[in-house]
Order: sequence, then structure tokens, then C-alpha cells
Amino acid sequence: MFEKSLADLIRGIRANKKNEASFIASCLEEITTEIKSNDIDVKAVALQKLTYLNMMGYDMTWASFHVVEVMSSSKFQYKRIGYLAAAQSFNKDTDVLMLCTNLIKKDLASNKMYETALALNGLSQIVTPDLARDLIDDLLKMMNHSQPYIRKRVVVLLYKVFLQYPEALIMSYPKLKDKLEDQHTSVVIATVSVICELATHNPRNYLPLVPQLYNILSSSNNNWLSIKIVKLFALLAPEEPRLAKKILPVFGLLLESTSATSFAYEILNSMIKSGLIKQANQSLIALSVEKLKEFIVDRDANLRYLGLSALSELITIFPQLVTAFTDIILERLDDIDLSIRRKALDLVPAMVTKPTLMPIVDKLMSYLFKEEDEWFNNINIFTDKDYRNCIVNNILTICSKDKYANITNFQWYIYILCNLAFVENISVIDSVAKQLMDVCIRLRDTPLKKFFIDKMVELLKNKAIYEKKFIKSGNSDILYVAAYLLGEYRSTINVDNIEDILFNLTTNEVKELSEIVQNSYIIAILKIYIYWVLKSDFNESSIDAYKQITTMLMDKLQLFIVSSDIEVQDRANLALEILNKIYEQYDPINSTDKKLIEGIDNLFKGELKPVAKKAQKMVPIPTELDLDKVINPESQDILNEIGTSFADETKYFWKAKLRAVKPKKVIKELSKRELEEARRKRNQSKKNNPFYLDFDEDTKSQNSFYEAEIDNIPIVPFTYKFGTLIK
Amino acid sequence: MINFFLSFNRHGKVRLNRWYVPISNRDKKKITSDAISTVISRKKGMCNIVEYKEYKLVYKRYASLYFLAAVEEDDNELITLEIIHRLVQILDEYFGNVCELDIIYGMQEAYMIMDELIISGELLESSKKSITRAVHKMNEKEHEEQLVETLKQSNLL
Repeated sequence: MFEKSLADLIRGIRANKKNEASFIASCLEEITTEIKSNDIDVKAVALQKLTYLNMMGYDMTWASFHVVEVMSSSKFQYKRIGYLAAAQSFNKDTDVLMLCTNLIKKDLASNKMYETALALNGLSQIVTPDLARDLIDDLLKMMNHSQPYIRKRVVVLLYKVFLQYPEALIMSYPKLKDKLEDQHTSVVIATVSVICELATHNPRNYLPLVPQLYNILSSSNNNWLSIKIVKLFALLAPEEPRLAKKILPVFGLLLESTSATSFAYEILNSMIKSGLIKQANQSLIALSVEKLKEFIVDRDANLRYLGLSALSELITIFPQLVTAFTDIILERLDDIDLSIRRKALDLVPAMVTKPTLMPIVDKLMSYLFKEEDEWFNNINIFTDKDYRNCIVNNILTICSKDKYANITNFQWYIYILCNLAFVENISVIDSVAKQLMDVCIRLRDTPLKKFFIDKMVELLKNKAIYEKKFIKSGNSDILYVAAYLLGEYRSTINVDNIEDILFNLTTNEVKELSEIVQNSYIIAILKIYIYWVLKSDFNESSIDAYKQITTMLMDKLQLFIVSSDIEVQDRANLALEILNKIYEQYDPINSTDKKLIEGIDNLFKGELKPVAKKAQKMVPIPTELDLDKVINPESQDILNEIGTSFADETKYFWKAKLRAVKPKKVIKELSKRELEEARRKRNQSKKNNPFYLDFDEDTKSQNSFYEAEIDNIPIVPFTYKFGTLIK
Repeated sequence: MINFFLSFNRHGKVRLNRWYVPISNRDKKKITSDAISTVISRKKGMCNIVEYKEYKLVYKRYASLYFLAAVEEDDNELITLEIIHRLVQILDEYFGNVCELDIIYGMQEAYMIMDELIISGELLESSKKSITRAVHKMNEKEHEEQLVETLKQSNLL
């Protein structure tokens, strides 16, 4: 009598915002008692409340039986509540689903249109393979229902049924095809939708429908229908080459005449995605380009986004078209919406050419170093790591395309790469480092060698790179490139600068850097030091400098020895030992005995160069080498021998089924007396057992009859040949 | 095909949800919360299409409520926006200047309207008139039933 209605429940929840959980818990308790009530009204209200709570996230699978009870009510209002609850809570594991079959069958056959509709709606949400199999006949009959309201529902429901029970498709396809000619447009739309969905899996099967669809498209004035048919044609076109010729003119006409942007977008998108546009004539392509341009500069952000997506697909088909779009793509890089910027970024590599490369890269760099006052407008630019990584990766891709074919000024590019090390909030610095390494190594034989060595020294000396934020984000890892290059191309370094460089390689901040950098530093220190000793001519006055530097290095190497990384310790020890030996044994003034130093220098001699993938093929085969000559004439026989026995054994191994070895059971034969004894014992235990279900006198006699029979069955050992598996 | 449809407010409270593909309850919860957090973090000028896993989330904000439809890769997003708009228009007409409270208290009717518009992820009826007519007819039917019931109970019939 005083149960809460749904409205009361909702009011209660809204009023009890602070103790919502406990309020709902008490309501759930009420619901559990109410739902078991015999009064259908109370039950239905309880179910309504439960459905509402289900939407808030509370489980209602325990009530599935009650849902079916309410569904089976004859009143429309209760039925509706039941079906809604079923739609929201049933899934394929619900055990009461089989109870629904007859219920839904009955409702489908009802003469009340809205009840049938209710059943159809509910079925579309809960259909399972069993339900589909049992109800498909009823559904097929209903496809010819007098009301289009019902017909369209059945058609649309059929797709769900096909997904659960594929055999239904074969049964219902003829009827489905007929629905294309239905009087009522909504049924036709429903049919086309279903065929569209089916065609995404199996386009070939629906090619015979093309003439019908063509007619419908030409005579249709309903945009929803036209859009579906265009989509369907785009799915069918790749399967039938002649279709393109017929359908493209129609598309062109529709594209020109329509004022609905969704329709225009559908035509463009379908043509591009399906590849139909490849066979289009010039005017259609020009029209498509024009329409795309309109989309991309539109005020509506959705059209811009979709225009750019369609454009990126179009570029893969017609790369040369990108030139028409360069300006607007660059404009879109300033868009408010980050996802649109990303789309524009994806297009940038396609449109970069030699002359445009530098301005575009400069523009991209400007995004990474935005000023403070730009924040309130574009706050995401600074914080969105993905976006920033994207920009950096873009810059690297654009520049390294075709082995740096588009770069005209490598000094500028090295400058850009070094600057990228100072970009905050990115995580792709190792790609930048790799690229810097690659570019510099390729430039080792050019006059730019001096330039990049100077740049590396600059990088090394730049205190900004040691800032905490850069060390944390890994930006400082670029220093390993600087150290490596300085070590490897030490011959270009001006001897006077070496002391300074060594000093910079051993500052106290170095121990904050990562292990990769520290390792690189140690080897670089060694290489440069050895080179310095080799090339310098020491005399009385400069010997102090020598002693000072050597002792300083040995001292600073202690920093590395106490590092927590084992490899750093290892290398530092190595370097320290070498330095110790030199300090002990080498007297720089007596320059005749430079063999020690030269020996160590030889460790680092030779150039490490990048090797092209096809380099192996280019190696000329020595003339004395005959690749066709047999190495060992007896090898073939040996291999054959191994081949057979080994192959046979392996063959049988894989084919043999695994059989568990069971211990053989020994069946003991009991003598008659022993049988009697056993039976007596059994009866005694039965009498004593209070829980033993005793039979009546009649069955007892029957039992004894069976017992007698059992004794008469002969016991024979059971043999059966399971066939030999192993020879 | 629309895979699922959600309606929620800025605080992430779900007001309507419909799933047109069979998904386990646990996955439903996860997808719902992911989708909601993705959409709520979007700003005003941004476009209404977001890519999420294998779906495209097409959403529109009407006053305090977001309406979100998840479609597949090859679906037309603009048409989906139209469908969402059509739904909101019909809700508006039915409830008269609909607001979030109407949808909270009128959950049953809102689902009824949704079932007139979209079934198994496909658009069923594009005419606003026929949908509102059907819904009103169903309400009439219910009232009739209730009337008959009360008359029967008071022995007047």
C-alpha cells in the first residue's frame, strides 16, 4: 500500500545526495520484497524502480525471473515495463531466456499492433541463437504484415537475427529482397539498411540487386534513403567493375545538386573509400576537390575534421592533388580543435617539397616553443604530450624523407635538431638523437664536419640541458650523441679547445645524467685524452698542464666509479686503469717513446660508417670462387641417411596419440558364499541407516528380482583392439 | 550501425543507455566510463567526433545533457548527428521544452521514444510526426487500460 513509486524513488535519491548509497541499499531491500509480491501492480512498480537503479549501475540479473513474469502480463502497461527491464538487463547468459520464447511468440501473434511492436523491440535487444532459431518462422510471416509500422521493425530486427543465427539469412533472403519494392518508404529504408550491413561482410551476394537499387536511388527524394543507397553502392562497386561507369555520373549529379552536407559528405567519402574515384572523369574529380575545400574551410568544426580525413584518404590515391590544398592545410595547423590539427599534421609530410620544407618546419617548431600568453587560448598545446610528440615526429619524418633529399641546408637542419633537445614536455627525444647521429655521420666527409663538431661542443657547454626537467624527461640524452661524435671525430677538434672540452665532460652535474650518456662520456674522455697526448708536444712549461689534466681526469673518473650502474663502473675502471698506466709509464717530454700512446690510440682507429642494405649484393664475388661446387660429395648420402630415420621417427612421434598408462584393474571373482555374506551386510547397514530411502514392499520384491538377475550376469574379461598406433 | 547510445550530464551521471550489440556487463561499465570521460574533457569549439578504440563517438551537447552515439568506422557521422538531433527534437516536442529532469522522471517514455526512432542500431523512422503519434497512441492505450481496470474494480463495468 505504501510502496514507493518510481518518482518517489528518484525524489528520494535526489534528496539523499549525501547518503545515497545507504538510501539505495534500503530501497533495494524494499524492492526485493515487493518484487516477489503476487500483486502484479506492486511487482511492476518494483521492476520499474529496479530498472532505474540498473541504469545507475546496480546489478539486476537476480530478478530475471520476475522480469519474465511482468512481461507475460496481459496489460500493456505492465508488459511495457517488463520488456524494458528485459532489454536493459538480459544478456546471453540469462537462464530465463528459454521461458521467453513462447511469450514472445504469443506477443508477436497478437492482434494489437503495439503489443507486437513491443515484442519486436524487446526481441531486438535480447535475441540469442536459440530465440532466433525458434522465432524465425514467425518473423518471416510477419514480413507481410498489413502495417508498415510492423514490417519495418521486422526487417530491421532481421539483421540482429542473422548475426545470432546465420542460417536465417538463407531462409529470409527472398522475402527481404521483396521488401525493396515495398510501398512504404520506411520499410524500403529499413531493407536498404539491413542489406548495407550485410554487404559489409559479403558484397558479392548483393550484386544482383544493383538494378533495383539504381532505380530507387534515381527516384528517391528522401535523403536518408539516398545516403544509405550511396553507401551500399560504394560497398558493391569494388566487386563489379562495370558498376563504376554507370554509377559515377549519378554521383556527380547528386553531388552537384544536393544542399545537404551529410549527403555530399557521404558521396565524397564513399567514392574515396571504395576507390571509385580512380575511375572518375576530370570534372568529377575537380568537383570533389572543390567540395572538399569547402568542407575544410567551413566554420563547422565537424566538417573541417571530416574534410581533412577524406583528404588524407584521397591523397593516397592521387598524391598530386595535394598541391591544391597546401595553403588550407597549413591554416588548419592553427585550428582550435587539436584533433583537427592532428589530421592536418598527418597530411603535412605528403605536401612538403624542397622549397617549402624550411618554412613548414620553422612553423612546426614555433608550435613547440609557444609563448606564455598563448596559453589561455591553446592550453592543450603545451600539455598535450601526444600532440607535441606528433609534431616532433612529423618534423623528423619530413626531413629524413628519401634520405634527406629535400634538405638544402644541413647547417640549418643540425641547428633545428639541437634546438629540439630543448623542447619541453616530449618523450621522443631518442628519435631526435638517432637522427642527429645519422645526419652527422653522413656529413663526416663534408666540410660541414667542422660545423657540427663546433655545434656539439656548444651543446656540451650549454648549461640549460642539465636542468632537472630535461634530465627527467630524457632530453639530456642527446648529450650521448655529442660525446660520441666528439670522441669519434676528435681529429677535427682544435687542440687548444681540448682542455676545455675535457673539463666539460667531467663536471659534477654529469653524475645526474643517465647511464647511456655517462657511458658515452667515459669513452669520449678516453679517446680525446689520448688524442691530445698524442698530438701535443709537451715541453718544460706545458708539462704542468699535462700533469694537471691527467690528475684531474683520474680524479673525476672516481665520480663515475661510484655510479650505481654497473656498466658505468666497468668502463670508468677501464679508463682509470689506462690513465694510471700512462701516468706511471709515459714521460711526455721524451717524445721518442710514444708507442704506448699510439697503441691505445689504435684501439679507436678506423671509421664506423653506415652500411647500405644492398651493400652485400654489391660486393663482387671473387673470381676463384665457384658457388655451385659441391662442398662434400658424400654429404648428400649422409643427409639422406639422417633424413629417413629421423623423419620417420618424428612422423610417428607427432602422430601417436598420447595414451595415459593406467594400472590394470584386477577383477576378483567372488564365490557364492561371499556374495551372500556381502548382501547380508548390505541389508543390515540399510536397516541401521536412518537416512536410507526405503522402498515399499512391492518395489522391494522388484529389487530382489533385480538383485537375483544381477547375480546371473556372467562376468567376462572385456577386450577390444584399439588398433596399433606404433609399429 | 549505432553500437550504443548514451545520455549523461556533465558530472558523468548516465540518464539513458541503450546497447545495440551484446556486450558483457563489466565491459559495458568500462566503455561507459571511458566514453564519458573522453567526451566531458572536450572543449566548446572542438568537433563532435572522437575516435575511441574501434568506434567513433559522435556526441552533441544540449544544455546540461550530452547525447552520445557510438558508430562504426564506415558510418556517416553527420547523419548520426542528425539522428541525435532528431531524437532531441522529438523529446522536446513530447515533454514540451524538455530539460534533464524530464528525462530523469520520464525515463520510461524516453526509452519508448528511442525505440520508435532507432531499433538494433538502425534508424527506423525519420518523421517526427509519426513517432509522436505512435507514442501518444501507446499512452492512450495505457490510459484506456487503466480506466477499464479501475471501472472493473469498482464494479461499474
